[in-house]
Amino acid sequence: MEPILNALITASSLSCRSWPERYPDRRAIGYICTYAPEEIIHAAGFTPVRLRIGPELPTRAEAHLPGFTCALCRSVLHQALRADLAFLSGLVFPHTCDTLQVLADIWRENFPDLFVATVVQPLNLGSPGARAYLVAELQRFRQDLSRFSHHPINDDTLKASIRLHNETRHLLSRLDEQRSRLSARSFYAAVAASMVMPKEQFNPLAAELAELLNGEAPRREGPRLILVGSVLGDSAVLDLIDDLGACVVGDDLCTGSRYFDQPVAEARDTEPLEALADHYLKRRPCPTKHNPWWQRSRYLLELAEEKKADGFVFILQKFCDPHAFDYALVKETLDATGVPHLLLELEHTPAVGQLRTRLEAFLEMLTTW
Amino acid sequence: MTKKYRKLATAKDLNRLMTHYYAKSKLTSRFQPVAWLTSGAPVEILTAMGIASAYPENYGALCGARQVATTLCREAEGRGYSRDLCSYARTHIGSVLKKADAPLGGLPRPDLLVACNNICSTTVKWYEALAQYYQVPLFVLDTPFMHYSEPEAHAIQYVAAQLEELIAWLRKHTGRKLEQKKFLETLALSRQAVQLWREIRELCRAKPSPLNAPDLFINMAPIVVLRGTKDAVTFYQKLKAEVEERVAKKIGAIPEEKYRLLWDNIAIWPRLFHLFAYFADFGGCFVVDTYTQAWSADLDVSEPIEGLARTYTAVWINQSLQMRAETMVDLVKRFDVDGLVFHSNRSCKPYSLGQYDIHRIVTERTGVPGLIIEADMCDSRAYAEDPIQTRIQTFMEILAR
Ligand code: SF4
Ligand code: SF4
Repeated sequence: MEPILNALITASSLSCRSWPERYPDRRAIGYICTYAPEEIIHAAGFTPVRLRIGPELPTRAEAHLPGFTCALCRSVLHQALRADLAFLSGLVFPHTCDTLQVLADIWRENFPDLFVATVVQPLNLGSPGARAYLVAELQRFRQDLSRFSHHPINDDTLKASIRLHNETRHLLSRLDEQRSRLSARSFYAAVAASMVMPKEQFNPLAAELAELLNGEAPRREGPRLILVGSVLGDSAVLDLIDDLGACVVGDDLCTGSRYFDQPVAEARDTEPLEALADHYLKRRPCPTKHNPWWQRSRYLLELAEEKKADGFVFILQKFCDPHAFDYALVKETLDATGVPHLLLELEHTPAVGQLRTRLEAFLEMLTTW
Repeated sequence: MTKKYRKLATAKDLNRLMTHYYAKSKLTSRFQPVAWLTSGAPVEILTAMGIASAYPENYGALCGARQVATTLCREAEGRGYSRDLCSYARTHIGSVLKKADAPLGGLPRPDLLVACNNICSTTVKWYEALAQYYQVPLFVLDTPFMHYSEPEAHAIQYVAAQLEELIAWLRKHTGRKLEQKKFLETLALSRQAVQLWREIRELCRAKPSPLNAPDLFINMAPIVVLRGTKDAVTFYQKLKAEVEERVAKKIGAIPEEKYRLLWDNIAIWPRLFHLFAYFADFGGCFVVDTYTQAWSADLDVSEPIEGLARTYTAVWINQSLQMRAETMVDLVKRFDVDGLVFHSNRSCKPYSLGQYDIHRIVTERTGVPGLIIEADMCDSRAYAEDPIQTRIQTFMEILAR
């Protein structure tokens, strides 16, 4: 099992700069958020690569973004300005938060030769008109992309891509069920690897890992946590959780289960673009979306019950408006129901000592609770 | 300070109009349903249906100008709202949580909430919080962001469909109908007020400029909260007459206009007069700004629903950075601007995050220099007096060269 885990951890933690060496025969298109239609990108002959917070301080972004911008957006812009992302043929910006909305325009402005696509996903998931709108928007994206790649994207290729991505989702869900046999660090490394590796290479590794895990004994039991938030930056928080003997039993994260736990419909007679549109409208929404029938606090409470969790850890990026707002909303319900929760707000370089103290205190509270 | 600020005679009318507006909204709330709206929501529909409207953002600005916003913000922060969130939202949520501290006793309780994301996504989260708090229905109008210069046809269709939905939703919750005649009348009044406002702003191309940014900021209130009413039209007619008179007599907004400036972003409400007086000391007059022009787009009334869908989708901060830069280049030329001042407003990400690039584009294309001031529209804790004054001074010296 070790070699596979190591391969995944390496793939997930490598800087983007080495991507072209690792996958020399691939062309890549970058994206930042899970609302990017990876299947369409893949069907056009590209490997979708998710961009993440890099280790360097995002100094070069300072000429374009003020200090009150989330570390994710500052970091990816920094990486691009120092040519770490030169291997990308293009970038896709789905519409989610205000910050990414501006970042897309900044990208167009500063990389005029790059293919920069915007897919303005609807925000109001409850609107009856949202589906037709989204199908048209995805169709426009598909056309833009196939014009750029000189590669027609027909329905059959798209269906094959959906199958491939569903396979990845399915495998990640299997690993999700086997979390108790994995450290938090390893589990999220697998998820992160699935977002940067070609899925054709990731899937066999993940399948083998899932097999091997069947024979493993569960790790020692500690306080059971659910992680909530947007993107995990580096692995500092996860390492702390592992170190302090807690276990992550579930999550509601952009770089976690929100990425994989709902497949796209594959029925033979559905139009693939419609299937994708339905997926985006029906999947568990992130806080940037409005869904009148959805309540995150209720979902979280159900999840906690199902997973027999002891508490929630909110991991938010500083200056991330949608998640910060949602936190205040959810907090009220959690407080009222008495479920323990902890808020960790991360900046580009988290102050690990402080995080440790706060996590420790929280875990102690959970065990004596 | 008074020396540097020539007060408009219509200031009295404005005062009366706004006091009346707030008082009336309290009264009418007893026999008319009240909706809370975002500043970029299609109020014309609600007005025509006889639904009273109240504006949390405008209320936030009012609290900011009265120097009480920061206290209210703290209230919201105590309940888990991060200090990095929009200060209109924090101020207003604070006023909801602690009515005792809220100027005018807060806004009248809402029966309905209507949020439109054409200005930002913050409004949606903010209104979700209000819906949870008051347990009242919320309608979200989604206007897809315009990364290109024209809205996509499917986006307009989507918005138009939602407007129809909004009408049905309002009817369901209030029992009121949208009469076509009343609707067209309201649209005509809205259009008239918007047109007057546009003309007033254009009058500032005169030298010296008859108005300075604080005049624009204060006088935009009716276009936000009263558009679609006769009162707004009457007020802007009167204001326009006064501004025309200033132009005819060559009366400037400040005693000696040496530099014509452009202001980008929302005002810094707690320091409104103070800050602009400081610029006036150097002979700097803000002849144009981007915020108050957000309410000057024309409305196509021949196809009311589609017209509204277009107008409300194409509002200023729902447009790409490239389009906003383009408009600013045009403003610099037409208003003969000597300097750009960007308020990098910690509260408002969609407005502020692209400013560095916009600054570069506009300066490259016009040769006009710019200054960026980091502050906040309401939260006075984010305002650092001395460094800001030093930066302004340096900037004005550059202009003098
Ligand atoms: S959702 Fe939050 S973390 Fe993600 S890009 Fe937007 S502001 Fe940054
Ligand atoms: S974020 Fe900006 S546009 Fe949105 S409510 Fe706040 S100030 Fe207004």
